Amino acid sequence: MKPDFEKTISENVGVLHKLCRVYTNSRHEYEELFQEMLVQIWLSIKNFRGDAKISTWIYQVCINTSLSFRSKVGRHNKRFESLDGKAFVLPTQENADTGQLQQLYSAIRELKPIDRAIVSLFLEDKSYEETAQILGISKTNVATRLNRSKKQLVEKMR
Amino acid sequence: MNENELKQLWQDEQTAPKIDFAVLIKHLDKWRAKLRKKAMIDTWIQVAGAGILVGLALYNAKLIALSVFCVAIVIWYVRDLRAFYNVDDTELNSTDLKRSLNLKKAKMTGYFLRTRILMYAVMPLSVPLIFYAFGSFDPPSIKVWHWTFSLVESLIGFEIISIVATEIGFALTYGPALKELKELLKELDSNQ
Repeated sequence: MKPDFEKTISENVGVLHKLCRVYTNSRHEYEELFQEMLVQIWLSIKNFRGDAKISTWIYQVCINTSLSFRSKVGRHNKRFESLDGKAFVLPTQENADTGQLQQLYSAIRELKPIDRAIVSLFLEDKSYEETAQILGISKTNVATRLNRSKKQLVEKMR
Repeated sequence: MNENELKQLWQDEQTAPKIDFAVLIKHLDKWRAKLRKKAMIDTWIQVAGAGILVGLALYNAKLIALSVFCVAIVIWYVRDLRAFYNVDDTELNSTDLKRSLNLKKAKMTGYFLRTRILMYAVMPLSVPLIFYAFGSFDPPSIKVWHWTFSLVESLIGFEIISIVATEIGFALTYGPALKELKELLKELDSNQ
């Protein structure tokens, strides 16, 4: 049975939100990326075959979308009118964020694009195996990159 | 802060956008209908273009070869264009990141190759064909505007213009994206 779009998004909207914050630098970019993620999930959900957990699949779609969005190809493919204010309302919590949370996001945004994904998955408590599956790389690669990134993060959060 | 405190801080964030699914799905359906309509219009434009070429071919027998040639080239060139622009193609997003990036790279490289073949080889060749079709082919000289260039000079000129224009176009539009894709893949492969 195919997963329900509304239920899937409702259960994973936090993932979309966090990845948008990790991969964008402004509210406008956030809005564009969030919308693109919704479109991609809506289009792709019919292809979900249940080979992996739905949460793993959501990460694959959202990380792929984030990296495409960063490149000019993603921007070039802008094909959808803005929905903000009609279909979704962005959170205004950024001002209410604790200083530490803002600092954490800033530190992650300084990492390389792939490392941002690895760190986000680590912070979500995903195993090395699951991270490797989402990204299509080896567990050793995940471990090496994560160790390097964690050192940078801890250093910046001191 | 240590690792566990970082995880705690990250996982404690509970805010997220509020989505009105009724409005969202209505917009998505409307958008898809719009895309389908656009695809239908594109198809009709291509059919009309082919019809005009066939009409010209019937009017002037010399144009038959050129018409068939043009139709074949258009079909060959635009066949994968929709997939390249990823209009309604979602397969990429149901695979892991590395495979997805490799697929995108392959599509871009394929598109570059087609464009280069078209611009470098076919465009300059089409010049004498067009002159021939309209009865102006007079080797070894072809009149262009008020100057006279030899056939070889004209072909060399068109070849240089085609190469320079194509390379500048790529460098300005898709080049940086392809470079970024390659860098991401290289980054994923390091430490493998």
